[in-house]
Amino acid sequence: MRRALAVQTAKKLRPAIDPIGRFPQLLMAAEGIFAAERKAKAEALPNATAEAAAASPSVDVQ
Amino acid sequence: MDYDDEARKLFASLGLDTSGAGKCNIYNPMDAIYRDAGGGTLYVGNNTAAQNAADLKRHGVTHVVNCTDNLPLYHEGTFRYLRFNISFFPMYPNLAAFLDTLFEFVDEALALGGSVLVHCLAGAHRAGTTGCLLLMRFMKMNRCAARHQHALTGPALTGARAVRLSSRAQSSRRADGEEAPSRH
Repeated sequence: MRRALAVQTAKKLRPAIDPIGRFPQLLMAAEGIFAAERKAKAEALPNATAEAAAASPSVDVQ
Repeated sequence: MDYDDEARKLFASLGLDTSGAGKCNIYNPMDAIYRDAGGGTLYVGNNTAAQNAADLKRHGVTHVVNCTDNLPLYHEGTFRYLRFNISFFPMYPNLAAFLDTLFEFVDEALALGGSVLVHCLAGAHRAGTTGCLLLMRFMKMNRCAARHQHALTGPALTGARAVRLSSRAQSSRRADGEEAPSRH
């Protein structure tokens, strides 16, 4: 969907744009790379938050 | 696939000469496809646009991505260049690293507030696909963006109008609490 939307958006702004030949395969592969990056970031975020909480010094409220 | 040959077929279908020169009301040497929050603009264009240094400067272009293996880097010393041989992508074992060379180059340009021309011979297949890759990376393609883009009907949108509309879509996404176009 993201790949299709990017092509659709680009074509509206420059109608000549036309990924032909093996380029659709490239866009599909790139979409997979971006999805993996997003997943890695999403997985890293809760871990980083938990680590930061564990590392922060406790504060005694008097 | 011979992309130069495909470009010449496109030129012929538009009534342009083999270099893409000539007038056609549905095809421009270059078009804006993305406006960064920092003010830079991403253009996709053809060989004619790449040769016209004065016009590129007028559009604030500081960086040029040449998506061919045979067209010259016309104005080295005036603009920063990246040769991005997109048609060779199957030869790269690490596609992510190959794409990163493109993204880092464009990141640098946009971080400096500069604009980028991505070009090949026709600005349709190689540069067009590169433009799509950049849109996929820089714009968070979502339903809201799609709604705005669906409003872009009628004749081809180019130059300032395209940029205004793209910026409006970004502003709207921010107003909706969605993430602004990001540079990683």
